[in-house]
Amino acid sequence: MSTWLAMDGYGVFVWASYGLTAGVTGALILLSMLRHAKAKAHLADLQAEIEGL
Amino acid sequence: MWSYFANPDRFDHLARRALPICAGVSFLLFAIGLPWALIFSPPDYQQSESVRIMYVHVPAAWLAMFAYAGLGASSFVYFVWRHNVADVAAQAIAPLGAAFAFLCLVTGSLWGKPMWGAWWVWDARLTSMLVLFLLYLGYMALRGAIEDEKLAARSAAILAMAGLVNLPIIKFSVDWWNSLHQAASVFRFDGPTIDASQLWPLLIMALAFTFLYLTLTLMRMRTVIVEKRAASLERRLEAQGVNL
Repeated sequence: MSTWLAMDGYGVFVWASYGLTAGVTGALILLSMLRHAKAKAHLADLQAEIEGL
Repeated sequence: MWSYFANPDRFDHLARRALPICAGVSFLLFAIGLPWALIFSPPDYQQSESVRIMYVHVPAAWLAMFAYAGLGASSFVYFVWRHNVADVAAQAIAPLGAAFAFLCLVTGSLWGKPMWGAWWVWDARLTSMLVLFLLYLGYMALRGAIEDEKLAARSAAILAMAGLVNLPIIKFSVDWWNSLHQAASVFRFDGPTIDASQLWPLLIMALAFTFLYLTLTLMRMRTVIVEKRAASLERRLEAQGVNL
């Protein structure tokens, strides 16, 4: 296991690449979902306000 | 076909059905591709285990370029036919393309340091990829800087279309100029020169990233459509004298 993690001495570079990729893609997924939920909630609020007029 | 998809409701209906399929396919391909890339594919005879960076670096580079082609095409469709869904697509694609260009540059740097002995060189391939990243940032900055939505969309579309000239420069930079970066080894007229034991995991990872990109693009396009509807309702309420 430790041999595999060491990646023949290139572990820092390999794991940093995969870690960064996971971080950026994870953030993209999370932020996209949050923004969608926020936009839908805002639209629902506005529609409720219009119906109330 | 353009007019069929120009209807946001029709697009939203289609996107809602396509989203879980794209997300599921991406998840499945990552479940196959990641262990293949990190465990089962062999180390390179020259680069040893550092070659595993290729399985995230190359898909990021391909997607950064693919996304820019999408940005340019949607900008063209919006600019010529004024189809709103094309503008929505451009808005959704730009931050995703920027993220993939950023990943390509940083993972390339992390690969370059142990192989070339330098984090960065002002090589034609690296510089043209940096220009692509800056084009994405410029597109987003330009859209954000102009208050009039239609003028912002048109100006940004012109920038996106002009930036298309950078795509062949990136692709052929390694052939046109002396470069530290290796020449193309997958998309070649005479076929791939990369060994099948590394080509297959690379293609699986590239497909996984492509389906992730499609998932995020559809999700963000739906969000932009909802935001535009909300903005339209806000204007309606303001016109009726309601304080928001």
